[in-house]
Amino acid sequence: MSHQTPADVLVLHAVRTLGYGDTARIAGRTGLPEDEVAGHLLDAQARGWAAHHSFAGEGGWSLTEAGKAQGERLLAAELDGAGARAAVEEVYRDFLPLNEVVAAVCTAWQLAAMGVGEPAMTLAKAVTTLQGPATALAGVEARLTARLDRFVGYHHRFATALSRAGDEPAWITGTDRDSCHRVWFELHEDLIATLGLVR
Amino acid sequence: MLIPLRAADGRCGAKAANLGRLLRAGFDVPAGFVIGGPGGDDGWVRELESALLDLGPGSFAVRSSAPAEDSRQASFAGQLDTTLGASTTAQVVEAVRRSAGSGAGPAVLGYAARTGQAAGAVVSVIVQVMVDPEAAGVLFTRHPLSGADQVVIEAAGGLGDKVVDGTVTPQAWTVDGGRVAGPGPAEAPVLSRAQVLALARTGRRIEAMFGLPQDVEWAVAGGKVWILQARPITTSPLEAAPVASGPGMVLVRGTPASPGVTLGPVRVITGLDDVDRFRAGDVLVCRTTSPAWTPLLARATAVVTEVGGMLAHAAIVAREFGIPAVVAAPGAMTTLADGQRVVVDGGAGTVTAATGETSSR
Repeated sequence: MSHQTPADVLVLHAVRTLGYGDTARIAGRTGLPEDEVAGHLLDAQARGWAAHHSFAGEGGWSLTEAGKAQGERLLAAELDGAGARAAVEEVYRDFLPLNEVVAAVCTAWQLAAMGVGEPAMTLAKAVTTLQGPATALAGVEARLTARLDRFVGYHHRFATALSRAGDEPAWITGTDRDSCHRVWFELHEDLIATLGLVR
Repeated sequence: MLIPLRAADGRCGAKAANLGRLLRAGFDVPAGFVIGGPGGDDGWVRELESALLDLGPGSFAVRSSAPAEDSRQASFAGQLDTTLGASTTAQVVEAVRRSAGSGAGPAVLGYAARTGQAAGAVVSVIVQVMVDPEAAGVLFTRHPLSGADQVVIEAAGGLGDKVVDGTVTPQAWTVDGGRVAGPGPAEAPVLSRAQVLALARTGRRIEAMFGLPQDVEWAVAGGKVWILQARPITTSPLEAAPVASGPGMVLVRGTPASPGVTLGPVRVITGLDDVDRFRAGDVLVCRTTSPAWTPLLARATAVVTEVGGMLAHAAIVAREFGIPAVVAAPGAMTTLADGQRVVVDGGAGTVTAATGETSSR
């Protein structure tokens, strides 16, 4: 059985990968009850690790620099405790070329939607091209969750977004939904945080 | 190779990009398309005939759309390479070649040298349906000499090209709120009061959309205000000397990553503890972005990052929000001062001091 991350670390880490989110969204990501998540968030706030912001009337949580550093310390200890550092580093090396493909498809699709981009990327071609990374993501996730259980869910979320993109292109790069790009962006942030890297 | 004007962005040159944005915002712009870099291969010639058929019968206006910022002074050379009334495919081909060649003319090279831009850059050419106007001319959403917050309209009967090149003395109106001052009673006005007010309103809407005082070429035909060109007024009354009357100086240069031109105050955000200083409408200047920055990008007027590329997450999110992005702009966080007003051109990859402001800080 792979390593189970404690709830307080899960909450702090969800704020890191989401970047910004309200309690309900953080609860949704961690699979923990909302009131328990609220407690952990208030605790993190008291320790100076998380801050509550209000952007345009909507409240949400993000990490402070201290919280980001604390999160990285916790994740590093977890990674080494589980003896998973070498395995995750190897996954990250395999992730980077896939990241190139996803970013290139997202960019080509956006430019095509603006009417630039050559040769024109069609929606069908964008969806087809993203199938490759989607399939590879299943393997990436399996290798990660064999060590650390908290990596579960990325493949399902990405595949779900991709299955909707054919009818509704906003599922490719939309920021208002769990789009292909947003899921991928979060996994990238997750790996960077886990390995203590700098963007 | 042929890009519908509606889809034009910074890659098509400033003139076409502005027209594309106006079209997408619902302004009346004569239908047309952009030929990207016709100086290169001749692939566009084969596509031209059917594209002209799609535009319908009539004659066409052919103009260059240089990659450099399109100020009135800078585009003077372009005026010489404008062809009005080309009607056959052969005439359009010839006009396109002439306009494309204007990118290497001495005036353009001089302008490029002044602004530090790469000379001889590929010039795109715009082909548009010609409107047959009752009156045409230019308007400024700031008084071009005094800088007063008034709309100044210059008009003449017919095509308006004589107003643009300065060979006739146009009739002039000044609109200050609801107050209209027009030509004397001795002249038969080419515009009605209602037309003058409609033009002033249109000018204000264009100014609001671009966030900068505008210099607009327009035509009135069939009861409609057509927009032929819009560009920022890049000179201020204090900079009337020829040497200083070019656009503001380029402060930072990077990879163009999301098209569009906007103006706003710089907000240098160094990290997560800094995000509360960010205000809606600010130009976000930072090293790079992670998911935590998305709410800032959502409210930014533009984004400038020191690292990254066309494919960076910041670029993808900026395009999603439709804001200009310049990425991989070295030194942006130290060169740009907090609160400094700048113009970000995400199609050209430049950050420029706003009008009337210099690089001193």
